[in-house]
Amino acid sequence: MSDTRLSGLAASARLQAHRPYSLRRRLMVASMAAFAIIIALLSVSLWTYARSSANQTYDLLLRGAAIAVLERVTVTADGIDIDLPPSAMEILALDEDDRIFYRVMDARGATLTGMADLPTSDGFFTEPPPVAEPVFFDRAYSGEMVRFVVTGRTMLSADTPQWIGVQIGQTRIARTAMQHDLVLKGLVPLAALAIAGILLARAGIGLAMRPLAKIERDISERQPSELRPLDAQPPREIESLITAINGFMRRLDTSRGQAESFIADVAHQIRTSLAALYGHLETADRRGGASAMAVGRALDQARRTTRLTNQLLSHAMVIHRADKDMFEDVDLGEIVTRLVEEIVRDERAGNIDFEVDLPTGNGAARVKGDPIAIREALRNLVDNAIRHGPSDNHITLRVARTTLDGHPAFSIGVDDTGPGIPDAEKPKVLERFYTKGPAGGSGIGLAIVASVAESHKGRLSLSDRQPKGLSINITIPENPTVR
Amino acid sequence: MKGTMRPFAILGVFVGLAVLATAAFFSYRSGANAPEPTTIDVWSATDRSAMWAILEEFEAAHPDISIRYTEYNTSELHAAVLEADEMPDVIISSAMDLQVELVNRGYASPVADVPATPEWARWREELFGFTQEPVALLYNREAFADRDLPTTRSELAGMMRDEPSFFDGRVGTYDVSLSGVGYMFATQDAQRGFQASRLVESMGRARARTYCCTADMVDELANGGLVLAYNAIGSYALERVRADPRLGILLLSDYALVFTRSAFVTRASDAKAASGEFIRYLLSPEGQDLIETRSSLFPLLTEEDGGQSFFESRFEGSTSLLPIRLRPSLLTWLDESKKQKFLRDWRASMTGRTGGY
Repeated sequence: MSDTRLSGLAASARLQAHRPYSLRRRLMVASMAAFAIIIALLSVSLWTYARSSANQTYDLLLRGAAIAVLERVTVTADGIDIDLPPSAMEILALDEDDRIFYRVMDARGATLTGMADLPTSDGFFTEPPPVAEPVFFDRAYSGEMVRFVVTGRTMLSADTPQWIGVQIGQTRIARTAMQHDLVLKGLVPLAALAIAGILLARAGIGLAMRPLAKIERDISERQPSELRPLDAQPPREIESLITAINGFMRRLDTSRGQAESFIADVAHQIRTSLAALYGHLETADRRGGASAMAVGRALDQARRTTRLTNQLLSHAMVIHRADKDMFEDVDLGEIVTRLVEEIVRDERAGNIDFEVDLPTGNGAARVKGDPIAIREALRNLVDNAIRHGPSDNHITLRVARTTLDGHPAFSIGVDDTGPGIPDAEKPKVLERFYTKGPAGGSGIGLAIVASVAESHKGRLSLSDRQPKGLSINITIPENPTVR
Repeated sequence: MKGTMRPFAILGVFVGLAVLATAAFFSYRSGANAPEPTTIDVWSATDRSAMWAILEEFEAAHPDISIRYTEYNTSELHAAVLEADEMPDVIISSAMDLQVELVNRGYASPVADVPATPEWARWREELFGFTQEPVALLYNREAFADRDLPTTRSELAGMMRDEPSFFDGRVGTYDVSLSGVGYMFATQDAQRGFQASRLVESMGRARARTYCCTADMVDELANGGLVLAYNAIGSYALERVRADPRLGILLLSDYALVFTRSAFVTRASDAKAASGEFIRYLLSPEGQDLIETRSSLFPLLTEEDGGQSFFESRFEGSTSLLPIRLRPSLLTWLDESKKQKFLRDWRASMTGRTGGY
């Protein structure tokens, strides 16, 4: 049971990982993090503020008590008279739980009355005369932190002026309570502010996201054929996205136009071919004697139409496959070998010599590619060579290791000893429906090869052979996705 | 060699078995009285007789706790605590100032869940008053048979000044240099206003006699040596007054000081739980009831009006109660120079060296 739960968890985790991230959530998280940091900083300053203001408040009491004590210190003929006023202690006893410590001392720090072991700040009595302004400090005393004040005044006596100091201490309970109270009271509005801020950020993000929703609605409500640019007024941040979408739509529109013109071309070609076939058959029907020749022509025409249709379908298939990601590990050597075997078996080859030249090692020529498309391209090349070449043609299929733009690649070459193609016509033969020579093909073959080369990010090249013949090379990178 | 070893070996086995059996027996016995007995060391400046009932009942209610009670007088107790090598667990004293002084030194440890009491009678959740006892005027009924009793301090001062022959040498009060509580009452009086110094002067002029304890004053009143005693502890005196028709007890109407006996658990105590239990017991309904019915002390927790009607039903006169607060302001009067100055002035007043002829 735990296993299924675990796998369920793993599945949901995978689901999570594959889910597209949310802009809204990212913005929310970022703004909340910003708020958290601000609140943390404010809390720290609130804490120090509360501490200093609690200190200030209670330091006034300490100082008041010290002044009250000092006021009752007098210099008499018998010495220093200290009449501790009850009010001094009562001021400090106002806060319920704090303990109180005091002493009265002379300029050297010797205790005249009170608790002799109270700590003073370092070096307080080393610089004569001790300061007149009160000095506040915290010291641990009798197991607790205690806030002390030391203050004093100079008494005028008969002989020499004499400094008398008072040290009063109070534990920090009331101060800490006040500090906590202040912090708490400050944190409540801070928290409210944070919540309001987050709500506002949420609303703001929603508002900012609204153009996106509008664009989404615009696209989803469109007819499939409607490819005009989006007329949204995009905010600056997504302007380039809209431009890209519009550019894509323009390209889609263009390629749809190309597909439409291809279909129109195909329709026209097949219609023309069928009309010719129809004409030949009619002639054969009307004439008695010459009918054998007409039937022969009609048969020829029918064969050409069939071949044309096959090649068109093949072309459409190659183009269609190029749209999809159908690449797999392809052994070029195996494709070439199979193809030759097939052609030889079909006895289409007649007297033609075939030669296969593969790189050493079985399965050495491996690329990432679409095996069916590559096979179709090679078949077309071989067909062309057979069709346009002499009956004793010598056709070489050659796979060789090479590089393409610095990446490892393989070239597949089909060499023949046929008439070749003049340089001026070389670019034209790659266009659809351009046919040439007495054998007059459909004009599709090389276009298919070019498409395959293109879909594999490869290159197609034509070159002449010496003394005669044509060499056609497709160069396919080992891994087209690397480029 | 082997032959001589054998008897010893057998003896050894027997001794081992005996030891095991004894150990088993004792562990069984101690297992039967499950809770470990705890002893609380109480140092107290209160008569054992006044506390007896509470101690007994507390031990009865807590069979696992026993109390070792040591009695001191207030200043002895304070000195003993400051010098103690081994601190007691609980300290009880009627000297509020000295108790506050010890707690202020950090000698006390807080006790939780103590029943609610008036705020003047507790400090820091460490020091807890558990009685309230008024400071009263005692008088000899015979002497005042055809005289008006004073109702205020200024009236009392006036009477002593106007009739020196009647009062001469027959007024008693605490010797503030001997008695800690006497000093506390006198200083609290002094803090309340100028009437106090006038009263002390009048007593000095009437050649008042000073005592260490309330009991001595009561004795002198009973045998006619005194006509009145100022600032006696009402709770102790009331017991004697009720038993002796010659005595009367009065609260002056301007104010009556009220003090509380207080207790705290020491920080050094190793029986804090049991000691805390004892403090809670003192202020529990049972504890307070025991104080009211089976001791000469007065409970802190009485009816709603804070003891007013409780005292009025027991004392003559009606007054406003002025509780002495268990607060560090009491430290003022413990200051050595302050104390010397006060004692000097007080003695001077009592011996008539100031303001006299």
